[in-house]
Amino acid sequence: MATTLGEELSASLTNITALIVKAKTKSQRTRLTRQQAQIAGQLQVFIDKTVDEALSEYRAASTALSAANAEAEKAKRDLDRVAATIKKFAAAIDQLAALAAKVAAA
Amino acid sequence: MTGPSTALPRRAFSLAVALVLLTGCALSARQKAAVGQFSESATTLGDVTSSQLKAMRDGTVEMTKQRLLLAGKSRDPNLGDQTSLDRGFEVSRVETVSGAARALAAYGKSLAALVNDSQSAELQAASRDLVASLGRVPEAKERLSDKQLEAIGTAVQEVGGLWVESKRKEAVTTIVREARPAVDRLCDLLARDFAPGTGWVALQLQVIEDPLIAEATNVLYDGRSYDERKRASAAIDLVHGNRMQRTEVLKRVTDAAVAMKKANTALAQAVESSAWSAQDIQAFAERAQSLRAAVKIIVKE
Repeated sequence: MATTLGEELSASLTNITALIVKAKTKSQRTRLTRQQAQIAGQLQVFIDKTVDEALSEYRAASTALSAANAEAEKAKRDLDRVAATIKKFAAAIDQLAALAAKVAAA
Repeated sequence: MTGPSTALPRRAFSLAVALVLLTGCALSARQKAAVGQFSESATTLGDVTSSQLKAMRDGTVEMTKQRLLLAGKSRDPNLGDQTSLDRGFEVSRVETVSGAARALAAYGKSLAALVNDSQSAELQAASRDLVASLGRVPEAKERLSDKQLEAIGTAVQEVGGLWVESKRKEAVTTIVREARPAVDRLCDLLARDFAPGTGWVALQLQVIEDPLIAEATNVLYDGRSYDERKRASAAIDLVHGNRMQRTEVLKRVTDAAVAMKKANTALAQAVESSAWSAQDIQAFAERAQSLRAAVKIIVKE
């Protein structure tokens, strides 16, 4: 059962479209097609109002989720850094070994 | 003062305790599987919804063009015309909703990247480098045997691995907890707006489809030549394809969004406690698969 204006207009549109397909005369179809366009136009206005409100809700939720995504990417980079840190440590030991060898040779 | 003979066992004991504690701070294989399944389904829902919105916009442009070709000027000023072929699925609308769907997909991909173990091989290579470097230090070379050097490498790799796992769990738990309200909200919005018969996406498609059906019917019934009726038939075919999207895709997007919200609650429980059920995450995976499968069948590439 239709409950909101949008649902009522949608049900009317469905019914009138079915009538157009079943209409017996051209004049009936012409009249029904004109009425159908009016109902479709009213439904379009209803949708425009609904969507205007919905879009701001989408934007707010998307922004909040994007912040969490950015945090997840940072956390992933931090995890990847562990191996890099060990490698840096290995490079530092190499440099120290080279320095020690130079000192011993001097 | 502590002598070297007592200090070493104490350090070893402390390290062992730290390792045991770190082991307890890692995600279990079952928890990782749950996050992985959720992530994959979220990516599917987000990506498919986003691509379907683009398909609906393309369909809208095509259907409006067909209606204008069949009947000329729009019969109502609020309907699309030659200056607004994408009426109802304008770029700004599609971009905003599609952006939200893509954010869900990005969330799935971020979580998957976070639980995906890409560090083990890196850690192994890094600890090998470290052992090789230590072996090049003359003092270390004199005092440590190859076996001891190897043991150091293994310890570094394992401690690094456990540290990574504990940080992984901490990051996943925090992100799932913080993202939960936004994910829930987006699921609610998708479920509301894509609902067949009541959501604005479904209503918008109807506003475009029904007037075209009427004009195509008029041309089909009144057409005097095969070519006229053929044009009407092509328009009816176009509406039929788009209606399939309305009835099949919208329902599956709605079902998947409702399932994702439940799975999101289950995911939060999964990463924070040991008592949780995989049922809702599994149900979400099934809905996401159903959506993907339906799109594959319906959409003509």
